[in-house]
Amino acid sequence: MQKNTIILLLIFSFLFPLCSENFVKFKYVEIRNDKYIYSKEDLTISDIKLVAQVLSYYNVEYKLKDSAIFIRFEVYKDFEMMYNYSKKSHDPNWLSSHVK
Amino acid sequence: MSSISKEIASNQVSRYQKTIGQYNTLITDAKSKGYNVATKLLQHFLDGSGTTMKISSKWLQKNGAVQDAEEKNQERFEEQILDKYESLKNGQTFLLEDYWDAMATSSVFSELYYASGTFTVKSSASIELARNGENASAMGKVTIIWQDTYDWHDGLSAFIPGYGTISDSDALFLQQFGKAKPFNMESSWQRSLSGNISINQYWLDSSDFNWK
Repeated sequence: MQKNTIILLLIFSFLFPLCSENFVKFKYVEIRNDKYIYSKEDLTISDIKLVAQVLSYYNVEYKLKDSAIFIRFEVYKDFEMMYNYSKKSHDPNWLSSHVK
Repeated sequence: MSSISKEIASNQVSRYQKTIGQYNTLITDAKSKGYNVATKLLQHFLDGSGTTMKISSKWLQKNGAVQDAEEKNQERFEEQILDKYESLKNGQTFLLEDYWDAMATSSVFSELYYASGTFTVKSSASIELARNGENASAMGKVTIIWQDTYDWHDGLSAFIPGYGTISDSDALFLQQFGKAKPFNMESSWQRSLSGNISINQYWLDSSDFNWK
């Protein structure tokens, strides 16, 4: 293994846990052409309340700041879980029966 | 009609006939190889009724990607059960009603790849958790809904052995120029869950989940 590669791996292994601790803005995930994609739409205040209800139900840590909701990058990068959270936040039946 | 318009129309007719011919050959070849589901679906697309097709749940459940998607959802329910049981007091019960979606793509070596490709498995559970002393039980049912839309996407293509790469634009052209029409496909089945959690005072709790 090249010396440079080892240095890069060391830097990455040091930085990755730090990045994963970072909070990032929650975005809806939708399915388009059989692929999960982050929606470009910003969440409204009422959307944020619903997303917060879903995240609270599943004990997912979040922070509210500047009219946005932030979650850990570890959660954000899991497309499928984000899709499920997005879907439930739009599902009135689920929301009315899953209050923590 | 101008000569340019006539030429365009003539090109479209010739492309339509060529594509339909290729698809019919594909159907005949695939049928001879026993790919009955994929051929039935392609034929249904070409016929253009657009009606929903029910897919055999037994056939789907044999597919590895379907099994993986179903198991992924099962694990999500198990995690929810494991998150909840500790908070139950002795004699208390809790009804877990929830659903999870998992998207999966079947292997190119399976017929399902040509019938569906990428699909969604939605599992809806109704599971009762009960705490009884040093044990907790989980009993319930999960309804699994497999679904997909038989459609095509501009810019995509699929490799079909013996035919090479077939562009989705051909199928989209048949939709636009002919009577071919996308349609929904679905299937459903049920599983029952029987689970047990032993609560150990001095060691880690142990759990056992059986899905049937």
